[in-house]
Amino acid sequence: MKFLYVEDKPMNTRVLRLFVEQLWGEDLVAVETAEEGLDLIGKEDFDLVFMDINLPQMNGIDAIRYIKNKLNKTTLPIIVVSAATDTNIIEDAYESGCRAFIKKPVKIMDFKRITERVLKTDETIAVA
Amino acid sequence: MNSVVLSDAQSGSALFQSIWQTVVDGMIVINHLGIIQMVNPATLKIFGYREEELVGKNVKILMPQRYSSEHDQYLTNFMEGGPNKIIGIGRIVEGRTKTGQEISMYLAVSELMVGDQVCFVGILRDLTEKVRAENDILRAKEEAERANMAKSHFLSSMSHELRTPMNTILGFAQLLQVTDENQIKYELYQEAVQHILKSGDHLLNLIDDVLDLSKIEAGIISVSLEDIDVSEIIDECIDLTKFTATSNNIKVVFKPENKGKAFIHADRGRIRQSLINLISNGIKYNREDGSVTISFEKLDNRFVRIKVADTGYGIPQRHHEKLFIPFDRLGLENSAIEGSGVGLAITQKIVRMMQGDIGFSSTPDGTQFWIDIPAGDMNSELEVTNEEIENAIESADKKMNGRILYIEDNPSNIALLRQIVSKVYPEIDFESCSSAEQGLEYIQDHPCDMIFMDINLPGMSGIDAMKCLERLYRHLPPVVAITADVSKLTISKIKKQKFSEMLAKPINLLETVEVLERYL
Repeated sequence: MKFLYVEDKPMNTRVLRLFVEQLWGEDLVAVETAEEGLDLIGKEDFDLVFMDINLPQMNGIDAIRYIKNKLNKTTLPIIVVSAATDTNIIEDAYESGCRAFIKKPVKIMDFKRITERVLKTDETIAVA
Repeated sequence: MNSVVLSDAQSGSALFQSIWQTVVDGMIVINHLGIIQMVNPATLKIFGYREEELVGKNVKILMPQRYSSEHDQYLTNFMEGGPNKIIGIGRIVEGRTKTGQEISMYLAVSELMVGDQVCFVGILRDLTEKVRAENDILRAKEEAERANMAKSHFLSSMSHELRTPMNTILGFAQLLQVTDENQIKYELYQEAVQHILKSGDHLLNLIDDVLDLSKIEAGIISVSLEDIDVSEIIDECIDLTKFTATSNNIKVVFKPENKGKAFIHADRGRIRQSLINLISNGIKYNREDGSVTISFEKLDNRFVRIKVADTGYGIPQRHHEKLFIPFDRLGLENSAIEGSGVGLAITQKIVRMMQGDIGFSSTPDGTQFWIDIPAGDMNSELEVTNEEIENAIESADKKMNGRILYIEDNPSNIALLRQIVSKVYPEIDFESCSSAEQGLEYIQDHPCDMIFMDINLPGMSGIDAMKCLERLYRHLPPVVAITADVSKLTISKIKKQKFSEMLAKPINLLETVEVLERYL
């Protein structure tokens, strides 16, 4: 499986990477800005993207819109992982096209359940 | 020019006169050419004219220039059958007083015949007060909305900031939990412990800062003001930030520039907090091998300006207005430089609470922050002459020995009391501790015959220290409370404990000697 994680805080990347390794023995590709992420998505095929919202320039929600509309990756599943937990932001995230929203601090069991469900089905999963 | 002559019968009746003189709204009668025929006292009051200055003049004298030229034309048009813009229709218009001031007014005009002449009577009401009140309400509403938005922004920033280190702490803890204990690699274990501790510390700092800021906002902070030697407090703060400076390879320098002594009237702990914030910022946001320079100057006789300058890369213009907003780290949220983003917000608030202010200037070569603090009393220089002490001492037993402990963080105060004690009881052992915690430890190992306790201490307060002492020891030596803060609240707190005596700062020589003699 090829995972992409767009996250600007190295500590958060470290934790998620260890989660992914522990749960599925997989690795992930990590970038620190939305721009780098969009660039990679345009060039390579990913099975799943984990997206933070508060990023240095373009934010995560605009990045999702870009991926869905401009890059036309309509079937690429995107899961938002963020510490921004205002209801408006969560609504915007789902509206832009994410399949799930995981609030930080991340609970490993929720992370497992949600990621596997997103990969196995076409469902959009409620916020956790 | 035909002016209308109103016959006695028309204008003379007592009732009419009564009404005309007393009615609250302004009333003016003009003829078809706009010439004022009659004007009531209320109108004179509104516009500030005397009756003879208005009667016989064109009513446009009461209008701002830009409208007055139109009025004649309008009247002419109306008389020739043109449009009616005001008869029977009340409107809000601008009027002009004798002094040239423009006022908003409500105007309603009726047409009437006096004999065979067309006249107009207008009633006027000055709306200036009403308009002013409305504007005040509008401004207050905008102010409240702005404050509300700031609070919302603060809350969501805070939530985000607190959750981030929690992600590291819970993340690593969960990893340790779900990994089979026989399979946990030592490296993971080490990494987990290190990150949990680091994020835990960061979170703790955040919580402390946020609580501090909230307390300040809620107004439940009290300040304990005293006169503080500027050079002394700067030296203290440089000492306290030494570790951060050396770990970042930054030199912190104090340039007194031979300005002599200066005093500020401030809360010692809070000034320390503010200066430490500015110095650590200077250290953190600097260039490699850079430096931070601290200096001060007296601004007239009322304020002292303390300056903290760094050799960093400066703060971009676009960030200037957001500098004191909590949690807004202006793009450095993700950098390797740690910070809660709340420090400057707190510093600004506490400096203002002490009747001072804060500001900065920045270029690509560095940034300079300054804080202005009210100047202290130079005359409270803590020096006491031998003569003064000789006069104060009555019959002290000069041979008395024993031990006196003074728990106090201000070195000048310690020096003063030491001086006094050594004159009254030269044989006495005078010791000092700069914090309650140190004091409590000292008392555990060293019996004291008398203790002087400053109330406003860094860390544990004098009150809490006394509570501890009362709990720990059945028999206590006399403990004297010393406080710069003599508010009702603090005094009542002091009275609740078993202090033998209370002295207010700046300490009075006679009182102090008297207390010494009484209890020893």
